[in-house]
Amino acid sequence: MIRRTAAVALTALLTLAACGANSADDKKESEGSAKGGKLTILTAQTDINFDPAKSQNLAITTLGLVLRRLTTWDVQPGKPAQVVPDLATDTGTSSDGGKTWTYTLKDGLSYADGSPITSKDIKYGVERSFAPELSGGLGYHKGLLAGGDKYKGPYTGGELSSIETPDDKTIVFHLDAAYGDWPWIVSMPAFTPVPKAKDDPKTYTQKPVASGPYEIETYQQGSAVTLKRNPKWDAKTDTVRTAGPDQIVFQLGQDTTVAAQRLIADAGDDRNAFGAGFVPPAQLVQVQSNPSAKQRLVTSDAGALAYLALNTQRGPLKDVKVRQAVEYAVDKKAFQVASGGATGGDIATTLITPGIAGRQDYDLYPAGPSGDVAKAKQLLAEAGRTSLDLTLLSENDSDSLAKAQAIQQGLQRAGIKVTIKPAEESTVTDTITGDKGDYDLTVSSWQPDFPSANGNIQPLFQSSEIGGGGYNISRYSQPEVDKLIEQALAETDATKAQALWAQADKRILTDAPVVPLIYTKNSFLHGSGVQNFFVAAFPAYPNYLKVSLKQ
Amino acid sequence: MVVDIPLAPARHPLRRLLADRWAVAGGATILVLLLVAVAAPLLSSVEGHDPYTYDLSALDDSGKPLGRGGGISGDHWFGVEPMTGRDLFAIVVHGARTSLLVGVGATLIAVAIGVLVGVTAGYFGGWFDRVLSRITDVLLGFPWLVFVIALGAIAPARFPKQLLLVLVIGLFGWPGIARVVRGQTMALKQRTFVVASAALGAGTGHQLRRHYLPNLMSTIIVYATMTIPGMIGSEAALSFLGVGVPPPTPAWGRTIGEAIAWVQTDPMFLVFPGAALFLVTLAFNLFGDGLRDALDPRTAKR
Repeated sequence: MIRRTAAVALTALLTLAACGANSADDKKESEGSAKGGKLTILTAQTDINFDPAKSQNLAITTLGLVLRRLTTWDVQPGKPAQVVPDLATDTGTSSDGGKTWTYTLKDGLSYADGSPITSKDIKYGVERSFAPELSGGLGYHKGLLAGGDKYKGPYTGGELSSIETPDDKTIVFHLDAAYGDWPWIVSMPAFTPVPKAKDDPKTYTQKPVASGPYEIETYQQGSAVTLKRNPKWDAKTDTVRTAGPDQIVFQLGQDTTVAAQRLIADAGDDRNAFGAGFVPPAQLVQVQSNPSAKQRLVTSDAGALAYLALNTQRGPLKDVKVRQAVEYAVDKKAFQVASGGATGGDIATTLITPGIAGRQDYDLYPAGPSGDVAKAKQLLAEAGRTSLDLTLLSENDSDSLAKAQAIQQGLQRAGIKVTIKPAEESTVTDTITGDKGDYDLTVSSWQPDFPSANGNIQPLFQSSEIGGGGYNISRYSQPEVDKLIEQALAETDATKAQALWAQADKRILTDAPVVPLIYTKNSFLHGSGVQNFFVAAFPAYPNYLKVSLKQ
Repeated sequence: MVVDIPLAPARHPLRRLLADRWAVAGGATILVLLLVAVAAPLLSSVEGHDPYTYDLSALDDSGKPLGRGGGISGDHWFGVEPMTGRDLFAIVVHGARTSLLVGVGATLIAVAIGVLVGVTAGYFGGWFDRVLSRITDVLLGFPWLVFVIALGAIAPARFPKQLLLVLVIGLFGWPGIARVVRGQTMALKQRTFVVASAALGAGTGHQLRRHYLPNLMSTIIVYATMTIPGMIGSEAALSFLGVGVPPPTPAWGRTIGEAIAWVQTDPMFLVFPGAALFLVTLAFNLFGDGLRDALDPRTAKR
């Protein structure tokens, strides 16, 4: 097993709710985007990390307000997400069969301090993301750039030769192998310009040099972060950010239940606020009986996949028959109800999620929403198991435990005894992405980092992503699948790549390393003064960049 | 020689206890709750449900119980749990087992250690007393809640959580008892009958068994009764924080924790387990108060 240190930070697990939400009830697109006002964002996070090297932010949330990248996402209601140029003039020109990508920067770009943005700063920004002390960010590029596997960052390792900057406006990336989704990769936080002179890895997380429409005014650890306008940002160079509010305040450490209650009440400053976290199931029910709040609730399409991971390297779960028995025994309906019922998500049967191009719908284990207990028992008997005793690692908040119990009671019906082990969120993450793999089952949820089937499959099922911070949490290793993934990654023809991903999807589920449970729907609340708040099909988070306030 | 000269009490302690209406009410409630806990499977089978089986048909599309008061009906006497449809009556009744088991078990451990430490420290005195007293002080100030949360994370999943809770709550619960018992022991040491028996050459074991423990017994019983509700509260607090008995084993604290989010839409989900916890702690406190008044007339309310 090749363990890439680079593979550290793949996707946005739902728990990394660094994302926000806009509400779709404003159908007054004609009003355009009003300028002015103070927008408040309520988040459960106790800290916001603005260091692009350490960030897993989606292009349309917090970091996107302050930092620009080479490309970014154009996300609008009712349309699929597009990758569009941000600092660059286009989404990339490839040569050498998809192994070399060239970008040119727009004219007239400058930082908040007035100094010009150069391609060297982007190169430096990418280089520092390789530094071990700045790990934790989205790291897809680290395994793709030539020489990236050995590079240790600019502080100790000099420059990375596979990134060239022939002049201040041009940047060229050389990859190990052809990679068709590269324009999406350069929309990730690491492709933010970082001026070398201003870089202090210890404090950059609170004092980034702004290139977007806002800069940080105050940063109060654990309580609030305030953004003010960046006077040097030029709207003419930016096609996606509308920069409505004059000021944006992140209120940190807000309990999701309390935040939801405040937004339901819609009083005072909360009218100009929205919640970055999902509305909990109990508050979803509450909203249904409150017409005003119901209007301000925005629910995404079915997006991220919630799944039960079976540790394929542990005891009885090594047996594919046992894993298939679990596929039949699980009560997906109970899980759906525990997630908030029909507003919580749709029952899932595939790995590639709806809305991703090339997805094929199929059901390898047709058991209905409540499972097929008889079939599960029969498979267990074939495997020579009369009883089974498994541990399920779960986060210890009540929503996660409710979901864990839904799994537990489903498997119990087939004679599979499940012991729930509740633990702190960080303990769970460390355990499932660590090297030891001391768990049998765990419930997780995955939102791809870019809208390609690649984002659904590779981070979760390639054998190189087992342990070492990777999210192959079923510890699934199948040479045949690894080969399929490599083939699909190198395929630059989108249609052919999609066919390969769909093939991998089915091939993986034949081995039953995970049980797809539901395609989750995320619900967000906003105050009555907030406009242009919507959640598109992908990603299932609000687009912070377009939110404005009624004036 | 007369060793002990009990002042003939005006009335027998039991009579005094029975005369205290609040204590009787508390005692009766404890008795009923004990019966409920013992007969929990029987009671819930009379109703026709167990606390583990999901009943999604009792919920609407969003996971909210159908019907009034959180789904109260002839079928579900206390309604059902939102999101799962599990029977709330069965959960509350079985939760009494968890609460009483942990409460009483932890108290037994705490009392055993507390009495041992208190009596020996008070009896031997000197450096032995100083060392034990400092240990007691340290434990009194120990942030045990944080410790328990950390312990919950590292304990193997197979280790029975109920036993772990009993052990941990018990092991941190004894310093209060130890202090009181130590004080009483030191007071007894000065009493003439004790001094006399020592002068006559009674051995340590004899003195402890025949003079100290019998005279400490009422203090110990009263203190134990007053400790139980605190222990039950500790278990509920830990379950509320999500580090107590793991689901699906019913526990009042956890149900209360879950119910907080549902207060606006399904208040009965909070009312039933909350009332049960309130009732059991109140009953033990009332009974303990009455017991103290009955056994130790000097502290009785005039």
